[in-house]
Amino acid sequence: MYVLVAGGGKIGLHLIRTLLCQGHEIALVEQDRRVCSQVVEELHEVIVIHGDATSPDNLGRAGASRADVIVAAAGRDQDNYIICKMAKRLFSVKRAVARVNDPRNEELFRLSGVDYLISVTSMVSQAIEHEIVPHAMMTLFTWHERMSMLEIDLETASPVVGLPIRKLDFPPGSILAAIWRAGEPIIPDGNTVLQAGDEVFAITLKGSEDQLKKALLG
Amino acid sequence: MRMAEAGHDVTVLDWDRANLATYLPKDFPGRTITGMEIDAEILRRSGIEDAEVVVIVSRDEPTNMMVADLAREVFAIDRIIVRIDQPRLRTLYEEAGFEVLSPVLEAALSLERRVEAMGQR
Repeated sequence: MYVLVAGGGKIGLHLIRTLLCQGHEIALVEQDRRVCSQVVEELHEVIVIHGDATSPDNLGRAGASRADVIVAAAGRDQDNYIICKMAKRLFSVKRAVARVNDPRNEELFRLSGVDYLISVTSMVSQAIEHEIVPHAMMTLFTWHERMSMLEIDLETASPVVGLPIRKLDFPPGSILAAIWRAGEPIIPDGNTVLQAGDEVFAITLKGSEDQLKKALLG
Repeated sequence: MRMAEAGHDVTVLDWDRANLATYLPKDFPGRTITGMEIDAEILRRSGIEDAEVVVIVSRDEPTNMMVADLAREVFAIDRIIVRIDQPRLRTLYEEAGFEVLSPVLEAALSLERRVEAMGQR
């Protein structure tokens, strides 16, 4: 794939290294000349454009019209917003991924057609909340507000402990995908018996979370 | 200032208090609010819901464009005047029904007219 990365901060550069290892073709648009020089020296394969990524000319120079994906990883939400909007509307880039700082901006990003949001603030606060407040169930990921991956911690009192999965009364639109048991991952089948202390990972459609919680935790 | 003097109800929003102090006269009759422009809550507090016209003319183009979309998508404002200088972005927003203002283009056109006028003399 041809991936255009706008913004060579920590997130952008880490992503570029990862994508290069996977064999993708990468272009970077970055305003800071020192960062550009560093990337040119360290990562020869990357096409580097020195300039403001919120300018259509610079996106054009970076080959936006043939990019499969654009990743807007600049520091400010408004810059990432415009970068994605331009990529979609002016260059017909198929997929746009944006870093968002303020969770309140997420809705506007979605409305403008951004396909995937990386909300650093939301992720960090969820992770902290999970560590501080013990939750029997928490949402790990949500895809396009339609589908989620949940983690459910089973306690002794849970009605499903001691039952094989095939005997569970699972709500429609949910699947039990994996179990983390005593430091080991398990991909379960119908005969796997649930135990107290299991961390269960389930994938569920939006709206089925409460039913799933009821089925597993009572 | 001139719109406020002409009797219109004007509210000016800027994230930097110093800008408001520097660019508005002391006897400015309208309201001023300090706060981030890209914030639906601040916009609401500024009274955007009652606005007949929203004018977004900061020097920061990405901010202007995002606030313009916020004004339309969240607050359903019909008349939005937004400052955008880059030609392709101007077209994008004009086609989407915004009234686009470009000081760079205005200045260029004004210069062009003056040069033409000189040629006719």
